[in-house]
Amino acid sequence: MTMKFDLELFVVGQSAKAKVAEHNLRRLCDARLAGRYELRITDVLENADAAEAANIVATPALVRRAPLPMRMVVGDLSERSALVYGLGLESDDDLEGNLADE
Amino acid sequence: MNDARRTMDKLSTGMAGFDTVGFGGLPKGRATLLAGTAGSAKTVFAMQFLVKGVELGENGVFVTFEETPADLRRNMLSLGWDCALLEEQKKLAFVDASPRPEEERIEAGPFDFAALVARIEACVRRIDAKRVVLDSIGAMFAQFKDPAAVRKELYRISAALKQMNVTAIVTSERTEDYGAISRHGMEEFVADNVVLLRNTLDEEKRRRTVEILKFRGTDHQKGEFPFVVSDEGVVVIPLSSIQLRQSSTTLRITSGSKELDAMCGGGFFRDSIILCSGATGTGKTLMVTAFMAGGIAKGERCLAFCFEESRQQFFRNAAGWGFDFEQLEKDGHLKVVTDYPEIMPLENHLIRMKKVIEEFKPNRVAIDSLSALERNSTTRSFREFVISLTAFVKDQEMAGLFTSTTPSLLGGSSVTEAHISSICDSIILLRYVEVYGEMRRACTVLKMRGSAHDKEIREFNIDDSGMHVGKAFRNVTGILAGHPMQLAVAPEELDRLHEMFPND
Repeated sequence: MTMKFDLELFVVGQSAKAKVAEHNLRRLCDARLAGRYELRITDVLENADAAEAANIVATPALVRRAPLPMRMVVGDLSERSALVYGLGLESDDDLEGNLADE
Repeated sequence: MNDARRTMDKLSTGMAGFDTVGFGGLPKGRATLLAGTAGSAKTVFAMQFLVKGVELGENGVFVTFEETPADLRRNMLSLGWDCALLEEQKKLAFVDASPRPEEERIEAGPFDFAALVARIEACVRRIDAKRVVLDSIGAMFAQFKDPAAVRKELYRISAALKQMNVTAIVTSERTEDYGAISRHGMEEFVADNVVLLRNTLDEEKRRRTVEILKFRGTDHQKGEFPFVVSDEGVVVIPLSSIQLRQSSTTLRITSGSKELDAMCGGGFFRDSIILCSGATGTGKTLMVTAFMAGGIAKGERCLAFCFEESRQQFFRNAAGWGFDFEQLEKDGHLKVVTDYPEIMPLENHLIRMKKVIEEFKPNRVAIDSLSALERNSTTRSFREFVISLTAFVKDQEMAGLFTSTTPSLLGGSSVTEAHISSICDSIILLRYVEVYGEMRRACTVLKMRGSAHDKEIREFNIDDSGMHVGKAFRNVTGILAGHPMQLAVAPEELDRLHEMFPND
């Protein structure tokens, strides 16, 4: 796969949620998208215009700008399966060993 | 509490009627919950608050959770509010928090609305806004899964608004006009001040009202007040504000008929409301015509609202009695407004009539007839209409002659009169009288507030030259009750009776 992921994470200041979200995101991307993703962190307090343009209401908010269509994942990204779905990746529940439900 | 103290902590909304109801406007520096069912004009009300604010030199931020700014700009243009222009002038700004259907949003863990707060703050700072609208916060519950989380985050916005020192309107949807204040328990979010907009069906007529449920720590008028959404936005009709504070004058004006003036003890009072009641064809429109002509002859400006006849008919009738109303209107002495009562709700008629009166600034106003307007309204809104209009007319120190058509040819009264007779200063009755197989007309002054008047029931004739009040029907009784009877009493006896009860 050569698809490039252009990601932007909107946070407000240096909140705990912001740090958790960035950590969760980097961990997943490094595991699944190593070398194929670009991540920018935008602080809404410093760049309200960017938040306005992207219609950011809730934070942390991850915007997948590429590949299209654009997608948004809100929250601290602690729900891994939701983040995986939000990024448009194939479910990796098997790899994670999350088979308890089945 | 004096007026100054009442209004000290208020911010004028710029909506005249509402400011009266709110004793000066909305509580300054606080958030007010504006709740109403779908279509109750919440968004228009909220936007008007900002647009009027700009006129008063206060900029505004509109945070939209439901409609897109593009939709809002388009919708508001029909009310003459050019949002795009105001945005360009940095007097108005949108914060767009409306959902984008093309964009999928997934929740993956706890979140907060700090970004939204930051955007609102940035916007308020950028244009130095003093007013903020959040429309409508109920939509946030549709955008996010966890209502508890949304509610908690809305508290954050509420707290932030207080910090920003702005006066805010937060709109919220209600499911019914009489019931829970708002969906999702939003009254807990902005509990201090609650304003309700209602849009109910009353006798098959739409009726919009606004009610201030509470303003914490400050006074306001209680109860529901009708409002209309006209081409200028929301116009609230503050009924109970129109106290009887008009100064009363002893100045007399002519009714247009010397004989009638004599019956009234020297004419009508200048700032009085006269009700003229009678069956069809008894001469009410003639009375209006004479009232107008009498005023114009004295150099007064006269305004007539005709709801029963067309302009041409009104002019033709006047011409028949020797008045060239068409020319007088051209010369600017007279203005005749004719309308079908059915073309718009009564509340809109009221707003329009007030506007015409304010523009033309007449000395005399006539309405022919109130009964025609009543056809198109509910009992309650008709009563409100009459109270509001009479107060307005008196407040402007004008004389008003209103006619009312009785449903039966002989005697009787109409519902119209039941509502307005106590509000009117004078009442003139025109009645048919059957005398020896002939229909004659009678006229009597039933009431003349603050003045002595003729108590006789007199004959009333209409000919080419207009109206003439004649002799009293001395030997007929039961005219007003609707069953006239001739009395077989000797004339001398009548004279004696008459002297027992002298006039005045």
